[in-house]
Amino acid sequence: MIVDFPVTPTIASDFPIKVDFEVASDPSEIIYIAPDYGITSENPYRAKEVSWETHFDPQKAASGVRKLKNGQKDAPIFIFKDIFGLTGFKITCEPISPICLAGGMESSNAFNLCLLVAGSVLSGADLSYADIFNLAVKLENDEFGGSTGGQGYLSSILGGAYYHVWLSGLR
Amino acid sequence: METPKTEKKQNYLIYPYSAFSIPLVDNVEAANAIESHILLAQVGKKYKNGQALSARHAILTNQIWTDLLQDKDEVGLLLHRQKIDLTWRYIAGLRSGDFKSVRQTLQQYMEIRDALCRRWFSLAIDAEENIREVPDYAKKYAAAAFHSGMYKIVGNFYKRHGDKLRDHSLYTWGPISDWARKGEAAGIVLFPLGAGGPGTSIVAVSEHGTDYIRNFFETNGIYFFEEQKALAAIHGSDEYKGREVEVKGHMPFKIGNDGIQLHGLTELKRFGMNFPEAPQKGIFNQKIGRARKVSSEEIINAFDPDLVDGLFFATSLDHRTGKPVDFRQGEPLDRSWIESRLRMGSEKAREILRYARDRKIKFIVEARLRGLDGCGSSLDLPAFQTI
Repeated sequence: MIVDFPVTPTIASDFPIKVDFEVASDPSEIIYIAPDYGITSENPYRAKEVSWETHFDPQKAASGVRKLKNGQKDAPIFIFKDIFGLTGFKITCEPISPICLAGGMESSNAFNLCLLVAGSVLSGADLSYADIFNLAVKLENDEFGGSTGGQGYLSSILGGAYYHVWLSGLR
Repeated sequence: METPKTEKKQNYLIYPYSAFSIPLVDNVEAANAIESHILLAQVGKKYKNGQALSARHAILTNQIWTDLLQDKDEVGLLLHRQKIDLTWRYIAGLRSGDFKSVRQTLQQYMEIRDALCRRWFSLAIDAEENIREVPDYAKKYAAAAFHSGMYKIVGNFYKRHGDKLRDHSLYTWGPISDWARKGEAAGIVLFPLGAGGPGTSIVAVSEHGTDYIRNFFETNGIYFFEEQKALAAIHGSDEYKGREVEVKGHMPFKIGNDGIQLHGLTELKRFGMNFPEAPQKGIFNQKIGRARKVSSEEIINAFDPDLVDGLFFATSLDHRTGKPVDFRQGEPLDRSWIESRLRMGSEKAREILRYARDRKIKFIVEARLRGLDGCGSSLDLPAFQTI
């Protein structure tokens, strides 16, 4: 029965995250602006490549998984350049409500989702939302060094109120 | 396509990570009922010169919960298993508008999460102090907390709280713990979102409704959340320079009904840019425990109690192998499938965005943040899908 499976209900808030994609003047770099995180348009984060460190989890490091040294800050350059082969863009994460900045509302999930969707569309890779969801959870747990399931991504993709059944489960 | 089988290797997921999503509410009245029984709140997060004074430790908290699951700790596993039934009761409560049940299940879920933290602390302390015989994995926890720096926050807390750390929880750490007790006594559950921890936002839920919850907060000195004031504190504006400022307040919880939106893409489609394929309609067959996609022509027996409608997040088939794509967790990223699909390089994409800029078309991706998880939060962690 379906009730034998682990499940996570999510209710999307009406707090939006908006990520703006433009052409940068230098075709070899990715410019990232996120005023909420102190990365201003006057002093943006410019990157031409990502830097790596060994994963803090020895099991993952042993299997060759690498973690982004600057974590979430390197998400734009990593997702655009390393995954979709794109450079020469300015990516701006517009301010979000301050109550969301405190944490617990999966804002980094939503931001990474926007990056993956834009990278897929601009590169013509044409990943489906299911592919993006699968990729996003892998990246967050390995390359970004987090510990997450996929509820935040699904909630942001679908909006509204859903419950998500995880297709193989405990018991 | 049937869901592929899972296999387990070194505790890592080898499964096309996917989900079957079912609408929780299907009418405006039910959505309004949710909004009229929930408030969003911040019970106090301190900032000084734009810096938060308490560090979040959500990753660590998730890791601690997962440790007990992966190590099949006798107590931990029992607690984790209770969460599954509890979550289904929570869903039933939300669907039927029984907010007393919603509150009670949230309260129990929160208590289980706290109990898991306390269990992990106790195992680590027992192993460290050699107090009693402990399973081997407890020695691993002690090494991680007290000797390797991996979980050094726990080690620091132990220095501060000593043996009393056994009574604490990372999930409701700090003032949230006192608030949760106060709320429970008043018939309100104050549930930390995500993996909780200091300063995280919470939702307050009660069958008595939002006016009652608002009154509870205001009686206890928490008033309407003032966004501009909070922003000034978070960004360390001159007004608060050198001062400790506490951000707190409550606000209505509003459901965001829109899914992800790609502004500007309709105008740019003619250059070969496409909207991502949405998850397809599917059915979950309870008899065999499998989900599959359904085509638009397929007729489904709506009266078959074994079939549940929903949206199936099944990954694409890899044209090279004929199998579903899976970006495997715990392994180096293999982007060869993506590479095989790239149709446009940077220059082409830049050209399209230059065209957009010249015509004042903005290419913006907009998504709603997840507001409420509640019961079932952390059941999406990969470890739950491999045991």
